[in-house]
Amino acid sequence: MKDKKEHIKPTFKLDEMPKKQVYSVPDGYFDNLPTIIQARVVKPQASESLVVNWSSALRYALPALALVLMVTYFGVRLNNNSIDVQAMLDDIPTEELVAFLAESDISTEEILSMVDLESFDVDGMIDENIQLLDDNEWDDLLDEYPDYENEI
Amino acid sequence: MEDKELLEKIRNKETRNYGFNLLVRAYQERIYWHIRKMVIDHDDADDIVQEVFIKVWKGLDKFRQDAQLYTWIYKIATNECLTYLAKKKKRFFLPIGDVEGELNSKIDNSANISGDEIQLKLQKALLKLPNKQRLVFNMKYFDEMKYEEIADITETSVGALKASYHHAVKKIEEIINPN
Repeated sequence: MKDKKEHIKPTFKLDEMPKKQVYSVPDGYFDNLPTIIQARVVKPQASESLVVNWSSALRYALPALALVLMVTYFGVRLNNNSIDVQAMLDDIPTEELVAFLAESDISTEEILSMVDLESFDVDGMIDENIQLLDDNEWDDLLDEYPDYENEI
Repeated sequence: MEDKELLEKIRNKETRNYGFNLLVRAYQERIYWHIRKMVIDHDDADDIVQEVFIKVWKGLDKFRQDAQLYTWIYKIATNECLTYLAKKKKRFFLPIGDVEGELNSKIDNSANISGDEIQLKLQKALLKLPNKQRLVFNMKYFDEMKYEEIADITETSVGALKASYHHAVKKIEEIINPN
């Protein structure tokens, strides 16, 4: 009889079972949760204020942008003018230019420093000068610049 | 603080954030445990509870005064839970048994779960119920809510809820006492 009782399994009845919470949360979870949620709901407002900042930034950026555009425009104009100056110089006869440069105080170094010459330009100039000068002219030139070797 | 006062604070622009903070503090535990019992895992429950309160925040302007605040928040939480579980099932192309298996293993292995053998058996038996029936069981058995309140949240008739709960209890007892 005793053995029989021992073998009877206890029947589970939901009503007889004490209700117990088996789950738990990390320490301080409910203390921090409102702050986390608050931060998440306030975020979109922060991005809205960012948009407002952008619009005010644009208000200051637009005059600067206009200034940049003006500078660019006049820069381009200036470049075009330098082309015009080049064209004007092309129209002046070489003799007049040489005479002007001879009378002025501009040194050869200063002239060369203002000219951007490529190597093929220089080669062309040398060939052209060599062809133009005959022996007498070379002699005159050497008489005029006796120390040319030292200068070079 | 009563819901009416909370809502007044939330509707006032100057006290809106403060009022919402009070609302979260008032409901966070009830909502968290409601969700946690459904998804088992703390991290999942944490994600969902945050989403619930963000939805509450966004929907506060549309909230009707004639509905009870806690019913409305519970409804949002319930929908979020069911959506989460449905997505989980779809995302992994898992049959229902495998979702149950995954939640079962969480009961065995997750941190922040403890209890004697019979309590854990009960939790595992609950996983064998359909999600909606489990939800109703949790609200009635653990949260001790009235059928009328559960009816408001689940938009189900009181009669249907009574039947659902009765069947759930029977099933659980059968699962735990197989012979």
